[in-house]
Amino acid sequence: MPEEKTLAGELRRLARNAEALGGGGGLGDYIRYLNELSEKPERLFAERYRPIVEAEAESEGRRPFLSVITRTQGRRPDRLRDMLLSLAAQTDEDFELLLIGHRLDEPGREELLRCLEELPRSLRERIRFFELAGGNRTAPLNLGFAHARGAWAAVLDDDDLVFEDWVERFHSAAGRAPGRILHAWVATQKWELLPDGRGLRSAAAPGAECCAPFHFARQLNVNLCPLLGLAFPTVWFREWGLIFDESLSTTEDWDYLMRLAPLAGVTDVPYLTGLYRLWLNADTSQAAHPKPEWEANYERIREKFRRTPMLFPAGAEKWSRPEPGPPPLAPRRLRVKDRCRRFVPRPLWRAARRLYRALGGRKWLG
Amino acid sequence: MERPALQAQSVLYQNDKRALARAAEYLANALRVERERAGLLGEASLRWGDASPEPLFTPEEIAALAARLGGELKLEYRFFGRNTGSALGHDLLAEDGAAELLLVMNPDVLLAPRSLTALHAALRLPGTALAEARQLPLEHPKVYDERSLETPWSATACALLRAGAFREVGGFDSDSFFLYGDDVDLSWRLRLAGHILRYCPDAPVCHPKHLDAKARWEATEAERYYAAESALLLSWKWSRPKRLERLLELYAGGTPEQRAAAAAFERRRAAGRLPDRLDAEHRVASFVGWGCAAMRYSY
Repeated sequence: MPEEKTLAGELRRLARNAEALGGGGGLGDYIRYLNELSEKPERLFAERYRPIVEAEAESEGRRPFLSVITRTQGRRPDRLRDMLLSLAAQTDEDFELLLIGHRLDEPGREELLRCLEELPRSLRERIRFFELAGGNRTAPLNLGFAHARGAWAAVLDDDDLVFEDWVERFHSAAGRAPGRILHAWVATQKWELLPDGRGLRSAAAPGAECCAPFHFARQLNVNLCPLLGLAFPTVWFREWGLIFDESLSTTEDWDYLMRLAPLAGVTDVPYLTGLYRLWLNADTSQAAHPKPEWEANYERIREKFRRTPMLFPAGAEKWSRPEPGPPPLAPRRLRVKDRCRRFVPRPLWRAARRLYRALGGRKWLG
Repeated sequence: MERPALQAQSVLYQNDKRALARAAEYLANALRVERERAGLLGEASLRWGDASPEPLFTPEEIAALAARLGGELKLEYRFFGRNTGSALGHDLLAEDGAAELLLVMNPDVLLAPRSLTALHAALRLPGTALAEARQLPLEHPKVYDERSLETPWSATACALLRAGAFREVGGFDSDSFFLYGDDVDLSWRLRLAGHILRYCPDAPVCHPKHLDAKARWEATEAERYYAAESALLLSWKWSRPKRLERLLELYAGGTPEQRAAAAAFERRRAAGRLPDRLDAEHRVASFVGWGCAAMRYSY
């Protein structure tokens, strides 16, 4: 009887073929790595998350395009309300929100329930609320992914902000890139709490350091992809048991992205769709975990990278070239314009520009 | 004590009807939360003035939408039959209203559940005629007093006003301003009349806006034109002749929108259609650089 054509079955066949062809070498290593991933999912997945995945598969609930996962401890309701409001304005409403209340104390739980109760019905109906008493900050992500009914899942922290086309851009890109991780641009912005609980305010212009194409090689050194700019195909969690590493207490998102990226591939969505808020005077994960803990997690993730065979996508060759500097023309043009303005009286600027163009522009000025 | 009635109002122009229905739902919800948390507001209505070339809604659609909003918020719809712009549209909607409070909103603005309560709390502070909401995802970066929350001017993308103060100063100057600058001008006239404006960082509203892929503000052609036009008109009206002449000089060699705005201003000046000048002693109007207020940063 022919073997059923599943991903796991195909991988088994590949592994057999690789052995028949000599077994060793990079291809064999990579196939064995994939085979291990598909056939021996982590115990934690098998014990804790697979039953949830199976129960969700049998449920009759709506199957949206995107499951949005938000973990919160209920300690910053003002910021959570901002996040929910920005999510409410989405032009594409094909999403659900899985709100995970993590290690809630009684005031936090009350605040969170009040916050949910105050939402308009149309948004409340999209939200499923779960409580998780234990685990570190990574555990709620796995719980959320296990409950996700969407074909893709994205994570919004409870202080993030998204633009109205956040879901729409992911949805549109998913149609062109089935099964791939979607990577959208995210601006960073400094924010602060006003004194005496008067509210929140932005403190600086948005920065564009996370507005660039996904760069696999650079990502191996530093994470330049905030979670809110990513949408992960959920099949890898559900079918392969590829879960977030719960032994990591920080940078779990970087580790997950870099384990999944070679398998699923990454498609850029070159639109700015989110704001990652950097708090100047409020509790954040940066402050909650001491520096040595961040460094230890960083080293553990780097060690994982060293141990894992990685498949680089086509085009990876360009990463070995020196990075180009800024285009030479722009600053030069500015300088020329400034020079013109310095020596020509204001009423003659237009005429000077025309003359400059007529004489061949830059060539004339050298 | 009698609870003040509220009239919310928006000027529509070819908007997405789903976004409008959602804005109405969020307003109704903010009203529900206000009633539960404070209960200080009386009857409430939402007036839509439609400046589109064709009516966006049929009477049946409005009836269905009103039914969905429930009894807490009465929905009224008027088709203007002409493109009034924002300032005139709001003046027309406000002129025959009886409510003590006006909530001036852009049509696609979503109120957070507690924002109406927060705006009303700020408006009840002595001397206050206007309370301005904090916009998301992009906040306006103007400088305001972080203790008193007093602000030199207020954007009216979402602002709660005392209707009496609005009428006292003559509402928006729709003869001069079409799309931009009307809120700056209204703010300064309110302050000239002795009223206080307050910014409410605890009253978030979502006002969809975008940045380009490099996190920069990308103005449309219309935005560039009306921004240039309003800069000229504000300089004239608020008695800054030197600033006006400098702007006109700059615009003469500027972008096509700036040149067009300068030409339109000169036509208006020649036809004697410029507004009367105000605030000759510069008590209220403050210009910083090319803008109307100091900014914490710029997009």
